[in-house]
Amino acid sequence: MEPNDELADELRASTRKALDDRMPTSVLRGVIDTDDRFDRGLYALAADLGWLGLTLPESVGGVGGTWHELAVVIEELGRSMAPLPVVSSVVLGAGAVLLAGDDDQQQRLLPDLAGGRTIATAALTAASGRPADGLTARLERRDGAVVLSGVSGFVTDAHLATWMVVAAVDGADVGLVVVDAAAPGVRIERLDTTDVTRRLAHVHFDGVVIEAVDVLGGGDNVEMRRELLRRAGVAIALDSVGGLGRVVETTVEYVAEREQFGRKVGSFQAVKHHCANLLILSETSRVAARAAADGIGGARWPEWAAVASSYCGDAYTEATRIAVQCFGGVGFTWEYDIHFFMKRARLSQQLFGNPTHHRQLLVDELRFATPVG
Amino acid sequence: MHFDFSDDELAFRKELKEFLDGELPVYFEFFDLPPEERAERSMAFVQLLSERGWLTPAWPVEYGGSAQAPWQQMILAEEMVAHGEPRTGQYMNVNWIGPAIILAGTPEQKAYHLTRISKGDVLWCQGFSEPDAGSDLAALRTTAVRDGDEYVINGEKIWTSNAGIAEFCFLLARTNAEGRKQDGISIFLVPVATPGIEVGDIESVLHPGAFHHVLFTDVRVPASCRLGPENEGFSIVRTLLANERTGVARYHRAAGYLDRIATWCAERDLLDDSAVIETLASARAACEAARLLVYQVYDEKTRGLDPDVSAWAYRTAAVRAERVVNEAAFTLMGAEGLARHSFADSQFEWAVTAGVAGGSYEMQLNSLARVLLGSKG
Repeated sequence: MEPNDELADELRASTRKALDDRMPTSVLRGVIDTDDRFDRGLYALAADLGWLGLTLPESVGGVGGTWHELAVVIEELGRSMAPLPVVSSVVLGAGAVLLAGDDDQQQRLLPDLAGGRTIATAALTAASGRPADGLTARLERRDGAVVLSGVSGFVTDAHLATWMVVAAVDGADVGLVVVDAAAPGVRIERLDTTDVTRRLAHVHFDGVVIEAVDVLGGGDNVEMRRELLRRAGVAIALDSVGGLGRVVETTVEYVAEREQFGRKVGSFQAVKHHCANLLILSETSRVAARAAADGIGGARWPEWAAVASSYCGDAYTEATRIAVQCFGGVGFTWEYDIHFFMKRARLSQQLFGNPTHHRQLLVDELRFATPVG
Repeated sequence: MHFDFSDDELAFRKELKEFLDGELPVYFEFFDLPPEERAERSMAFVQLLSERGWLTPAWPVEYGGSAQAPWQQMILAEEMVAHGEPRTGQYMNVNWIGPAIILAGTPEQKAYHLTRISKGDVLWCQGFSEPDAGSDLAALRTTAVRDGDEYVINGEKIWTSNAGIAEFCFLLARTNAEGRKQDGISIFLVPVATPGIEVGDIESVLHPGAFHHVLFTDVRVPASCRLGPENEGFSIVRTLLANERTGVARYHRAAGYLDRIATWCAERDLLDDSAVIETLASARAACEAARLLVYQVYDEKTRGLDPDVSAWAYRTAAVRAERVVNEAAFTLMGAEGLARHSFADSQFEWAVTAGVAGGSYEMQLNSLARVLLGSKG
């Protein structure tokens, strides 16, 4: 059932060590104050440690691993909140090209990505950021050329990307195209969000000419976009699991030290209940997200993905709310770290579909699978 | 239970709203102003209120009030908070600092402080919490030691809102280390400019200047700064803060935000969606539940009853209303609600502090449990 667990354990230890060394919150605080929120040196290290090529085939410079290992890296990134575009590059950018690109496209785009020489992302949603809303980017044919116009909303790491895969309305279909971030007509509007540990952008396209070699797909593009969003949702769920683990640890540490009325506040029943609830949220999220990651492509993958995405989004938010409550006033001061998790959880809850959206998908899946009558 | 407003009260609310709409254009960004500008605008605004008799209406006439029923103060509280609380810290002067001075002040303290507060030309801050005295306020360690005609104050206060712009601090300090910790605390009315007082910012998820820590190092104040008898400060504060549980009409501001969220939904043709309706409706219900509880408190006060249980129940309901509206904003607006300085983001700030500031939610539950269980708890 558990593929390569020894490898996964080693990977977790080395990933955590690298992130603890290079991106403790003392360093993170400096990085998030910059406009890019990016540590180029750490990204080069991520490439050296093989994080970027984990799920890529050896033929394009990857190591041919599975989501079982990728999940470890994403959890650890969530734990450290390191602002690295790993999910954007690997799950979204590379994921789209592996899913919808041909051999030539994969050979052209993926080796540089696995080596950390390029960064990618995918713009899969409308300006609202909601997967269910009609796309607000569109493809048109003008004098034989394919032209992209409109806007994609809440794109992760677009400001760092060398290229991005854009989902756009294409007549009655959905088109998936690779867009050079520096191409004429592409404008990246950086967003200032409640969550300060990530950088999102609205990406505007004003008559961007798309070369024939940059058109992906050709099969069921609607399903390919849906699958990319599903994976993105599970990646965010894994990130939440990593964050939840650290939220539980730091909160329990705090209530075991802080004294009021001459007692540790952790000895009060109300606070004990808070801690117990934190653990329940964390453990349930962990099993849901890992089951989904290990089940990718399997018979129950869409169902488990919907369960993980809907449960973890709410759980992370609820857990950080409880944690701040346990910390009391210092929980919302800049000096303590817990508010970073609280705000990150809020954005995670919305990215690539909120829990309500995923519950709707779950209902759709179950209805589809259950014989009527 | 009848909570209909009289014609006079409705007329008052209408007049007040027209005045506020005229004076204060769009105001939920008020807290985004730099602290000095906020103080300046607040001072100018509060003086306008004072000129109209709307600053201290519930105070006795002899101290600059007009002895109005508590309901008028409640209407004021609702309308002020709906406009971003333009009184800033001065709502505290009116709600409980002034009343504390009325209760325990010397003739000189009353003449000086009550005149200034009722004219709206002074900002106060409250020096209560300390790093190791939060929920357990009576454990405070800041000391005031008598030295001839003076007291010498040493210690540290934290979470002091408005300390950076206030002229006076309503300070609790320990004057006796023996016996029960509640019985060794006195109140001092201290000018913040006194040598030895150092004010620093606490950076937080809230607006700049929201919180401070205040250090007292060998601060000498005349003994005439003490309010009330030595060592009896805690019981004075406890009596006065019972009022403060209902002092800020948080439910009313939350309901106003909910209206904005509903407008946002209406603009996107979302109001036919049953899930949207359910979210908006349950949030509205939470706000109205809190509103009715606080009306019950005012009703009991007006009829001379002790509103203890209603007041604690109101406090917990207000926290829930803040949180539910916050959830509604994010659930309905999605990622668009996470734009910095949007009203959803602003509601988030209020909701984050709702269950902590002014006493944690759990302490409120404990107080309710104590009322229910008494010595059996």
